[in-house]
Amino acid sequence: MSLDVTALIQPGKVHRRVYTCADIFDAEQERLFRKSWLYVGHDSQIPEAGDVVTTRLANEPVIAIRQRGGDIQLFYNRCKHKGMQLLADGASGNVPALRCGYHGWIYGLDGALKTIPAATGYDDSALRPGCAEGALTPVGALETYRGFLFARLESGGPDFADWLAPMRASLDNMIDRAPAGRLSVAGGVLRYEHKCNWKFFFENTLDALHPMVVHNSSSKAAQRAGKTSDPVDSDEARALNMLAPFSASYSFFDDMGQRAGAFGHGELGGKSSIHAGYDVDPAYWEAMVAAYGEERTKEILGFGPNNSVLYPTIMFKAPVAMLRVIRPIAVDRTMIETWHFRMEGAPDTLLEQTLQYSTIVNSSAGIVGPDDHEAYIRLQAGLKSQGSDWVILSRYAGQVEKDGNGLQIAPGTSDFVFRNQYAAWADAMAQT
Amino acid sequence: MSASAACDLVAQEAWLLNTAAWDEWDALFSPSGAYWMPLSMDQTSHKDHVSLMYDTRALRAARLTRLKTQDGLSIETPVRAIRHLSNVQAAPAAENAGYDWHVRAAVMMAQYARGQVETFHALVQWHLQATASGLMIELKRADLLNGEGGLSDILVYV
Repeated sequence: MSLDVTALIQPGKVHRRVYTCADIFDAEQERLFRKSWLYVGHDSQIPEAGDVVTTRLANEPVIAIRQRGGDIQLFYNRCKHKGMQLLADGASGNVPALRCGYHGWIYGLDGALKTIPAATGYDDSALRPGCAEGALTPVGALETYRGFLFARLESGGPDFADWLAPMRASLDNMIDRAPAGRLSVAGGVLRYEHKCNWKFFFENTLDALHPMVVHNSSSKAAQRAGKTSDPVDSDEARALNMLAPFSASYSFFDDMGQRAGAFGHGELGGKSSIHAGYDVDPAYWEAMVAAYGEERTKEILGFGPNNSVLYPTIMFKAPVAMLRVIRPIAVDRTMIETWHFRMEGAPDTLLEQTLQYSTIVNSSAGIVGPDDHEAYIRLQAGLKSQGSDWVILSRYAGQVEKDGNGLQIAPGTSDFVFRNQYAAWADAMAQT
Repeated sequence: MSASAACDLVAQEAWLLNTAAWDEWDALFSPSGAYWMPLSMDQTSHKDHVSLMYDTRALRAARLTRLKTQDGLSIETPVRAIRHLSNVQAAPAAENAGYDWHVRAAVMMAQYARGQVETFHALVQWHLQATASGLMIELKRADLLNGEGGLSDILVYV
């Protein structure tokens, strides 16, 4: 498809077609997602040899398998015989081998073809156990960073270390908040389908101009509820405390700051966040000080990005040990997953806080998330209108400084993070 | 108190929700009463696993304020729902359970929002406490059939 991205991305504005055009969505799969590092999962999901977990990368079904030697391999979830998915979407567990449920072809954990039932029928071909043609197809590249698994489907694209570099300190911060220095997946995963283009979610996570408008009613209703009666317990008090900052002022969010770097990565906050006012469990503080010392503990807990984006599929919240990942389905359909992490070595109250935040805010029955979704639905509908072709991204144009770490910083409500995303998007989409 | 009184209470509860009589509905809960919609049917706690909803008194108050005033993007257009109860069964709670009656039912809720009707199915359980002013809800637990996968928004209580 001929695609003139220079006509779609202009200084301070983008064309509505980037959100609404099915051809552009299809091109994104090939040019952006297949060549980007995508989130597969976390190695704590598959700790033992034979543990498997399935997911989708750029709409491709894949299987991650823990090998007997301890490393992890990632294969396309497709039998080499007739093409059936070896494991159903969402499947996980432990297997001695992978057996196709259709005709019984069996693969080893390493993807090698082990068994072809009634194999004599293939005597005239090269198909036989152990043959290269029959082995499961490995995914292009797989990298593990402190337990997090990332994959890239195509060989072309950025080097992993280069790609992670702009947000590595923030990801490290999320992991370092665990006294033991490692996280593990815990508490289930939320999956919900948003009826919108994937970009709305990513822009929203860094959009500091919307909380005081979209979430004002949730925040104010919680504040009123907290004033009319004493909380029934400390959990309820914590929940109300979580909702209150969503109606914070423009200056609060401006002061929070934002940072952005190469590959479209960026984050909101750092100087502060809406999570900065959470009470610190004394037992957690003690565990952190025991692990890191007081000075380093203050440094770790004092750096609190609100939302950090590893473009184009990952958003994580270091202060609450949570990661959200998008799985684009169609130009106007996006599956969003929210994963939660136990901070190893921390008291259970930290995981409880993470799960409570997700229940209240991220759940499709939450008191916050559905209002964001409504905004996305109306954005998707509004941008189909021919009333105007352009979406404005010019706020605080030119007000950008270097932070000394290779990133650029701007006021929290700046559109700079979005302009940075579209610069990366345009670079990727210009490739053929 | 009798089993039929317990069944009557959950029928009345559904009617109050169906008619958006929010304050009367909320008054059915004991002061420590909770509304819980787990993510998974095998979930045993809201603390060690994420839920779709876990509302105690103040969180219910916040949610009901929004619903009553239609203040919130997702609820500013009319949201209505009808809950159909079936297989309603009530039994005395086990000794030392901390409540007096256990009621269970299958519930189908049709939610009208954004100009469309969506249907949710759930197994629902109530823990009811006998008090001087009658039976009160200590816990209402609604286990959705499809809580774990690809949900759209649930804007009211099942």
